[in-house]
Amino acid sequence: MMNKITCLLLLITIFFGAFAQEKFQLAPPMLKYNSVFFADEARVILAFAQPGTIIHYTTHGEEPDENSPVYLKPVIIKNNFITIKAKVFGKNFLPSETVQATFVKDGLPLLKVDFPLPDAKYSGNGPNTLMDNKGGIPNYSNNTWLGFKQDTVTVTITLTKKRETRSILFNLLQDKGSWIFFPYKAEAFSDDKTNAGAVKLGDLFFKPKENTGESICMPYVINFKKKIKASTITLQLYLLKNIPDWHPGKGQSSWIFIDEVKLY
Amino acid sequence: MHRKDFIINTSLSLMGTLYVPGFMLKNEIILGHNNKRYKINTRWSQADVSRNPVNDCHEMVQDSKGRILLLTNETKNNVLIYDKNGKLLETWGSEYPGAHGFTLFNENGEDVLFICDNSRHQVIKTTITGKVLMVLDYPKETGMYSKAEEYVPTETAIAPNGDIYVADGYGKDFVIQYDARGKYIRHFCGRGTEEKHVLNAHGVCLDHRDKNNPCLIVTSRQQNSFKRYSLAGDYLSTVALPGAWVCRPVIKDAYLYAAVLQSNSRQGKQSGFITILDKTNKVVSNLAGSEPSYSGEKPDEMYQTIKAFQYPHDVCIDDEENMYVAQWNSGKTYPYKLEPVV
Repeated sequence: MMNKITCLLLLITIFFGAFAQEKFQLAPPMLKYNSVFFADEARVILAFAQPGTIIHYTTHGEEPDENSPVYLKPVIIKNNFITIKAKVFGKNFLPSETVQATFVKDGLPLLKVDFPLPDAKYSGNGPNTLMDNKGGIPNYSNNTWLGFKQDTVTVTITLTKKRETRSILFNLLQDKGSWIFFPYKAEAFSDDKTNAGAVKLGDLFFKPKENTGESICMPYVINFKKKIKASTITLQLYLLKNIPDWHPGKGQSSWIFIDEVKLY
Repeated sequence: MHRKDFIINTSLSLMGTLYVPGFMLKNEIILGHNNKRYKINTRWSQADVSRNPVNDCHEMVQDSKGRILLLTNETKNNVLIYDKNGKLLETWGSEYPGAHGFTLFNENGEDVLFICDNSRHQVIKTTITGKVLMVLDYPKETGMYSKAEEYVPTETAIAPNGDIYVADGYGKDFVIQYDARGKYIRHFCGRGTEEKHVLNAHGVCLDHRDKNNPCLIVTSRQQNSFKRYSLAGDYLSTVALPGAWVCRPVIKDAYLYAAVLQSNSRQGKQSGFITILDKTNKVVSNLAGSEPSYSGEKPDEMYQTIKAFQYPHDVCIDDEENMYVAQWNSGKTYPYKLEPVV
């Protein structure tokens, strides 16, 4: 008896399963801002012109769910390192992927930021590209980005005068579809790295993010082992030379994209 | 809990997630806006994938018998001919590796087809059964091309007098006008900095919605716009469609329909949708896209909102107002059919 009921129910399930309405996923919301880098404040607009859907967002890095605040009006950001994450929900749809952006306030005043010759197609917006407070746009073709294919990218940051510094921030892009990954490793050095007296201040290792098909840009920070007084700091980025196995470009070389550096 | 209850509960909850018959569905997904709203059927094609596979599904047309024709760059069967219910009736063609543009013209009562082949750098005119009638090679006569490879035609449009307009959308972005016999008349568009220039002239069509002033509409896909020209190639105006990588314009009655390959804000992310413009070229509906809105003359930036499509490449509107959508680079998927919601 039990077996008959079970079989019948399973058959019904399978039969109607074949006719089930497929559920589409919502696309992510539009996350609009001029730049993630700001001096006083940043203004963030979320948009999604699909009636019947609701944008939920968080400002402290948590994954948004349907209990998170509902987006109603532009969000004004005044503090450093605020991450906005947003996601759209709607009845009869699978929720969207999450979009996110982290907003970064000005650091110590810089005189110049030198970088090697980028790829001609992704050559940014002049010599100030890495210190112009412009960027954080997760679109590699935006002219805020510098794109590099070389094994090592050395960025030399010169302060307006010798100051106490404790950390370096740099903003990177990952766009798997375009073979742009975070570097394998980043290192910070005191002074110009070519000088004999250069000292390693800290490093950071990266893991490619597998779970999202969307482009993401993220600011990373290396906190120095100790505060130092310096007028020059060097940042070295090491290319991910072996794209991971889950990617169609596995084993091949990736790109590094960077759009801003800051010292604190 | 008893095992029996557990099994029944499990089955019931399974039913809860799977068992959603159409007649019980309260909130069936409706795509689009205003008076252009549709139900989508992603399983329209009844073709057997092992016998009649597709690669990129580039374009679709309806012939005078009411059949739906699909052009794919799968050389096992470049042309698939369906009835409106998705039954595959016949196929032909194996010599079009770069099959891309597909236009049907009624020539003195006979259906003829124009195929643009990206790989062959040619436009081929055939009968409805695939017999070749004429081949247009790269347009030396323009003085703009030194070899065939520079010419990558993507679309044709045929004027009532038989004149052939070819858009070189993946080559040099010229539109080349020939007479019905294939004799070169003139060329226009091309790349540059003026309004009359285009970037990625992916499509071209005749717009006869204003009977007294027929014109040509040329796609400038990377500029997210359509551009209007006289039949002699004089630039008239631009229809800006911010955010939308529009493919070819397709006109049926008072409306212009176009597949949008992707949203500008999410390039390379399968972010396509379908846009519909009214006879004043105002956007009235976006299927799986943002609700149309205007702050001034131009629509506000448009984008995908529902992942119903990946990379839509063409639409075909049949005699009953149904829409068929062919997709590029979308997992070799067959076309979808969308029925209007009245």
